[in-house]
Amino acid sequence: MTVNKRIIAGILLLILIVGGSYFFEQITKAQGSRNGRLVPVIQHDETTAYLDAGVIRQLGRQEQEMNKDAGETGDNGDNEVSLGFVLGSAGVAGYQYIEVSGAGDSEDIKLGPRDIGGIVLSSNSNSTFAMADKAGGNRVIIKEVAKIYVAD
Amino acid sequence: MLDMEKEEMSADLKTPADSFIFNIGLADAIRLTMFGTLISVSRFVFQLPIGMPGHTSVYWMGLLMLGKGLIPKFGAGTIMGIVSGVLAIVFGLGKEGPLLAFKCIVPGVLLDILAILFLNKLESIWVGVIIGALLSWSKLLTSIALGVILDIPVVFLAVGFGYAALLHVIFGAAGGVLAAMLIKRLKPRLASSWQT
Repeated sequence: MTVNKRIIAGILLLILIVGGSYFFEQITKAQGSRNGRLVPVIQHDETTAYLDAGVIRQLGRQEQEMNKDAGETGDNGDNEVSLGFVLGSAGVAGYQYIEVSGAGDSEDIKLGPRDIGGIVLSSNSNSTFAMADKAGGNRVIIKEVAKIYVAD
Repeated sequence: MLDMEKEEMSADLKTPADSFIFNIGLADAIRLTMFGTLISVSRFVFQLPIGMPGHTSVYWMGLLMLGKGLIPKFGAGTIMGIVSGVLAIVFGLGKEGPLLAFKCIVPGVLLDILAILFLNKLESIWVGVIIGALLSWSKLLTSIALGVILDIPVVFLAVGFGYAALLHVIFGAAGGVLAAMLIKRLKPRLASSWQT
């Protein structure tokens, strides 16, 4: 094979690589959103943040440290973080309501700014996270969160 | 038998610099070490806070290809990769710890293979574009593989992968073009003075 033919094959390979990378990203993100392992926070039809079980655990630790620094006890567990703290970390403020969808056939839940006080997100063992109502006796509202939509 | 071994040993001792490593002479091995060092030094001297993934590929892949173009021997890329990888660990570059060495070694090894596939014509601009881009992308791919080894969820690694791949390819190609131009100008001048 001549060098020119190899160059053409190389350029085609580069196009394939870039296209394949975008395709891999879209497929992985779609798969992750479907099974609740990558949860997008959507505002103004744009994804402002992505959450997963690791992020929830990390935010939980940060919230506990902040509560400790402020002298507050805070009743969240090790793998839990309040929904308000998560939304604040994602830069979400001044919203009308948020709509939380679950993986599979679970119903969407609408929550206003006043409703989220007792709501926590807690990480599951399968790299997903759940939404629970702390105020309502730690009742699990959504077993595996798949999407958080913010409406202005 | 013993005499033959003795003769071989004495022949080796007479010309220790002819085949130092990978059939590469000592002088070339030292030059390659210099290129490997330049790669690592340039990475932390020229790292720009522009927030664009892969911009270091311009000089990283550029220097890697320049070294291989001026010393076109099999194993040259690997030696530069190993040297730059070890130095990157010593300088504390990156967040991967000792695994960072793989990010330097993989493009080096790949360069040795791609140079054979492109008949060692690294002075060609188009060959420079293709090899530079592929090396840069292999660096990104190694980062993803290291992320998987370090137990980072694949979905998080995949976020922005397409954009990062595109930028890596563009910056790597730019480095390849620069290297091809330099090889074209430097090779005829160095051929007479450098021992090959």
